[in-house]
Amino acid sequence: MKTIGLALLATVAAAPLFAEDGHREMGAHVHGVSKLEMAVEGSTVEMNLESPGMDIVGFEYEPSTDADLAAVENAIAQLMRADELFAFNDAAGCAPVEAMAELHIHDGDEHDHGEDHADHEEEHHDEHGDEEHEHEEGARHTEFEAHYVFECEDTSALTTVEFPFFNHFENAHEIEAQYVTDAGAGSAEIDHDVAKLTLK
Amino acid sequence: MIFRLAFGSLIARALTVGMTILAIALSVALFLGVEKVRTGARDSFADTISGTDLIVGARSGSVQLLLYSVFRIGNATNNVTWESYEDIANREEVDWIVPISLGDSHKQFRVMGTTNEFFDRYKFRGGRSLDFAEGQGIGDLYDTVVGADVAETLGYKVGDPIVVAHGLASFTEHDDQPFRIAGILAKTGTPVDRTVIVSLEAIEAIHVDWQTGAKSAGPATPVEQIRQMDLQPQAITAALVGVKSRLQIFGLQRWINEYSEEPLLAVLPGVALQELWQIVGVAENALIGVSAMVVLTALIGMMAMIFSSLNERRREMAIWRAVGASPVTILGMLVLEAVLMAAIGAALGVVILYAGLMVFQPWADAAYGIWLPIEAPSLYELQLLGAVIMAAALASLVPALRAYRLSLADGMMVRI
Repeated sequence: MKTIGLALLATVAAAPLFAEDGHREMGAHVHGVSKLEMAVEGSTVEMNLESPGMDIVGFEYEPSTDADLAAVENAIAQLMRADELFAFNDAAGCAPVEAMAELHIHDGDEHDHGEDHADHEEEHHDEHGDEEHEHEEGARHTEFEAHYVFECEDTSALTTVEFPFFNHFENAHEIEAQYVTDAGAGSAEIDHDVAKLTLK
Repeated sequence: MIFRLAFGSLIARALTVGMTILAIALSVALFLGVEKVRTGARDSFADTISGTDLIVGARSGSVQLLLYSVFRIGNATNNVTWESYEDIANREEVDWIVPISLGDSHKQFRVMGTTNEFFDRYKFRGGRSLDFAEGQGIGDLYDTVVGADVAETLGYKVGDPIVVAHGLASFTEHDDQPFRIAGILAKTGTPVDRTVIVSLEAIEAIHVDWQTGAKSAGPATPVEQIRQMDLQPQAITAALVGVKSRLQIFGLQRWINEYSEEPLLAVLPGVALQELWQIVGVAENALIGVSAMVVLTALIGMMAMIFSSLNERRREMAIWRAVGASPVTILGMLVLEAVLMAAIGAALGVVILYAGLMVFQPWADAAYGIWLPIEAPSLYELQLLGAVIMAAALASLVPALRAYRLSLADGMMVRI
């Protein structure tokens, strides 16, 4: 199963003020802090990465100029090259088999309802349906989301993950990682200086 | 020879030296005790839940949810509706799910409503299962299973009738509905030991006549009638969830956290615990800092003691010089005396620590659920002891250097 696909997609959620069911809710968004979820089972390692647009491309507005779009395109291409971002210790023998990265543009509301309005950039598509939507001005931010699957020869030998990630994205300062392995769940903070996750 | 002299010199000043040693011993015992309690608490907490992938409850904080649902400490979280529980239970990723309902008590112990699956699914200390010391699981509406501490404290045997109260530390007891002890669990060292476990339906049953919070007027609903009633619970406090594949944990967690019908929270127990330690870590560091300062104070006391003894020992040193001791020998002797005092103090401190552990171990276990293991000192603790002795040697250098200079100046003559 080697499916490496590229998806550049932007979802614009309705501002909470106009949410139809009166349900208002915001998520946390901290510049400089990415979130990583990592699960290990059998020979598979799965990772989900969520990075603020600020960390990856240095801006958080909807990309409109050619330069912005190129930056986003480049960033997504870089996020797709999993082996340049994460380095497992050699003994585990892990190699990426799947990578997906996308850009989400949130218009103040991070909550994904079924009735969310979606708008599409460029020629790309997503599963939210095609609806025209007028953008309200407001607290807007963007988030890159990436999903990776690695296959390893021996996950029991997997002890550390290094993050050359920080070399590619200079605005990224910290990754808050949560992981689940045979030994249980845990969390760790990985930063620019100590770009390494040690699994217990 | 020098060692014997140093030891003899300490014996000769038994009282002041004894007080100094006692001060060092107490400070060392405190220092190691803080370390023991810290690691003991961490291990006890970490050992309490294993094998559970997610804990689900009403949206609160991950630490609050973990503490309340598993450790039964801290503020109660809101309840979760039965509909949401079923929605989660019906998710494809869910391998098993065990509901938990808290809020009632029996004497000083919490009552927990759950299903029989709890006894199979709840794991502690790296995957160990619950064992029945006596009896078996819940078979009847009015069956209860009690933890080891409950049975021991209240002297319960299988078959004994008990009364379950409404609310914690409440005076109104549900005395019209007799429960029976069906099983007693073996000791686990977890909060389960201090829990009375009943079925979810039983929790509903004891509230049949309590719809408004107070006992409703009129005759109590007969037990037979309650048995006929639909006791489907309306709400639970939390649920323990196991997923089929570890790779699905984060996906299910996100689904639960974004569940729009009800604000829910799903946490990974290990992650929530680490979050707790991050908060507690600040206080821990403060405690370690304070106890290290106490050790330092004891060592400064020792330094002052050596200083004040220098004057009265000038004659003694002159005699040593007369019999051929060099000033360096005198310096070495004072440092050796200090090291001896610190070593004896450290050893005595360890003795005090273990005596204290033996006294307080059952109490810490019963009152806080913290198990303080009595075991040989760890490498880290030995290093700490070594550091104390090293620090004592360093501290004694200051008066020893003074003695060195004095003995150079005085030579064999003492002009006092």
